[in-house]
Amino acid sequence: MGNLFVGPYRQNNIIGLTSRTIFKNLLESKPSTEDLICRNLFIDSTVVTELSESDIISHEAYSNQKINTLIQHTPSNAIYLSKYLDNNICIPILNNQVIKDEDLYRLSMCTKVLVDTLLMYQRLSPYLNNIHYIGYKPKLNLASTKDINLGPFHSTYKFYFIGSFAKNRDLLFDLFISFIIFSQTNDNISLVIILSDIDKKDLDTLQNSINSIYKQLDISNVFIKITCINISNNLSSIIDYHKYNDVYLNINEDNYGSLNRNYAKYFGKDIIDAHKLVYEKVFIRNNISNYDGFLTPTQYSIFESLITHVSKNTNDQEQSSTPIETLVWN
Amino acid sequence: MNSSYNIINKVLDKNINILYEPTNDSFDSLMASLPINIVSKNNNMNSCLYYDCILLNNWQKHITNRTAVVSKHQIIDILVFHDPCPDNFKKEDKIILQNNLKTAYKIFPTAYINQTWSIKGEFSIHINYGIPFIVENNTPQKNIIVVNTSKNEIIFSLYRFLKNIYPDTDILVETYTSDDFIQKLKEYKIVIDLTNSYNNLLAVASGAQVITNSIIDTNLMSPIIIQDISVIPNIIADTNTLYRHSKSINNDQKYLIKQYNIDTFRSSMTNILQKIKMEPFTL
Repeated sequence: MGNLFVGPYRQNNIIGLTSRTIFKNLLESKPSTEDLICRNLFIDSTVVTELSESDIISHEAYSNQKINTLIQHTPSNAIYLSKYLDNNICIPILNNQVIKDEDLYRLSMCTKVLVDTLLMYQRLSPYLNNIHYIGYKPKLNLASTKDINLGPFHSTYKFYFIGSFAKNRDLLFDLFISFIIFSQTNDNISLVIILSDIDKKDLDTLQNSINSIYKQLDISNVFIKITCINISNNLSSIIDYHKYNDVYLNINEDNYGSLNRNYAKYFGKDIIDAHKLVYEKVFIRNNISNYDGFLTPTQYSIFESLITHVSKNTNDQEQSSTPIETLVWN
Repeated sequence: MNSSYNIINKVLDKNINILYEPTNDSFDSLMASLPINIVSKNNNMNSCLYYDCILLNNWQKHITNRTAVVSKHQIIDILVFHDPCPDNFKKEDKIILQNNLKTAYKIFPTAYINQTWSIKGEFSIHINYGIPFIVENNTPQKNIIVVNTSKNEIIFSLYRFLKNIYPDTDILVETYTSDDFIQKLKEYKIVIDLTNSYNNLLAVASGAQVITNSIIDTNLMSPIIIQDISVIPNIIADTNTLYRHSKSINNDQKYLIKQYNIDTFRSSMTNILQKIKMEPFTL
């Protein structure tokens, strides 16, 4: 049987890594009777990568088989619909924008909608009967590429965040305030911000804004417990940062995807999850306006999640996800 | 975002669908005769239809906005070079052109055009135009026709000048299919065609004496190649009394039907489009 996977696997960013990971999960779990070919879709053509993985490249070759199943890892406004497909599985790339009605319609017309975050599963399941919460295995090279030592932060209890700078700008500001207040009553902790698509100038501006937040909160003569790191040129080093740090803040707004959450879990890290925060609607976010609005976590709920974590005051059982291969190959 | 539709339909749909920028000349009818679906940019339908590749006939326009077009639609682009490389085209400019169009497919539809551009590599393809038929042994009754499908003012001036001398001079400004173009031109003894290589070949196929401003094919003996249109009246004055079923025109026609076989063009072009359709798009 012929299957086609479409996703941005040739992009050199988190979404690209996620797409490659999903494809590899499908490739390695597919029954021998199934053919799987892939086609790249650029969502952002400025972040192209030379693919070195021959197992992916070899599946770009054309197959004469009739395609019965389409698996599309695409933004919700680019979902392909066709009555000629037996099986149309969508893994939507979602973010903090309120999902439009026409995108919900497209999702509802797919055979299955697979989301890899509990936040999106909870948000969309009132509207979609075909939605499933999936998990997949991390598949990138897990060997360390370098030793990390963040100097004065090395022996602290490190909360860490990974994401795009431009798309999390406002969230980072809220996170800084929440964390700085939180750190007033908690010793030996630090916040490590790991950012893609940021240059040195913006990095310096960011560090300066952290200093000015301390000043605005009238906190002086303290050791600044936040550091920012640029991984634009070395995306695969996120593996090293997952190993090095302690508590992963799975709250970024650029891509509601679980790639980094999966790695944090794989390395046995604690996780603070987005679905536990409280969200409010705003119409301007990161200097972008949107008529339908954005759903963003409140500053207070970020603060509260940090408190809850250290007090270990939670009885939540983690909702289990279905392995992606179970939903695709059956 | 119809780029995802393009990418997916390339695999799902067995038809060949091309987004085509027309020449508004006979070459369009040659493309239309292929077993493919054409979406024309001029119809502004590309917002609701998908296509496997984009075929353009004006490389100068494309080179400046290639990234925008190709990245936006995420499809492979094909350029047809209808004219030989200009004499004043510098070597450095050719290198820049090659770099800018590195992954675009480039089609050179005559051996002469291919030779003058001399762009080698897997993305450079030589496919000869297709000529539908030749007109043998006809006896044209009219004297001169000036082809001006590009509606060029200088050519209009030439026409008016010639009409003063030869009152039965006609001008052709409409676009015809390649078949009808030949049928129209066969009525004339002399065809002045300064438009493009394909029209020139059709003019030779019609059995007329062709006067043009560019070498069409180095194996064609009958066309008169001029550097300056001011010499045309003198040439006509010489050739008007000389026109017969000249042997070189007959030989050229036999050469055309062999070298520019229309079925060969159709199958070669269709095969190339099919191959390109199946290729994944990469930047």
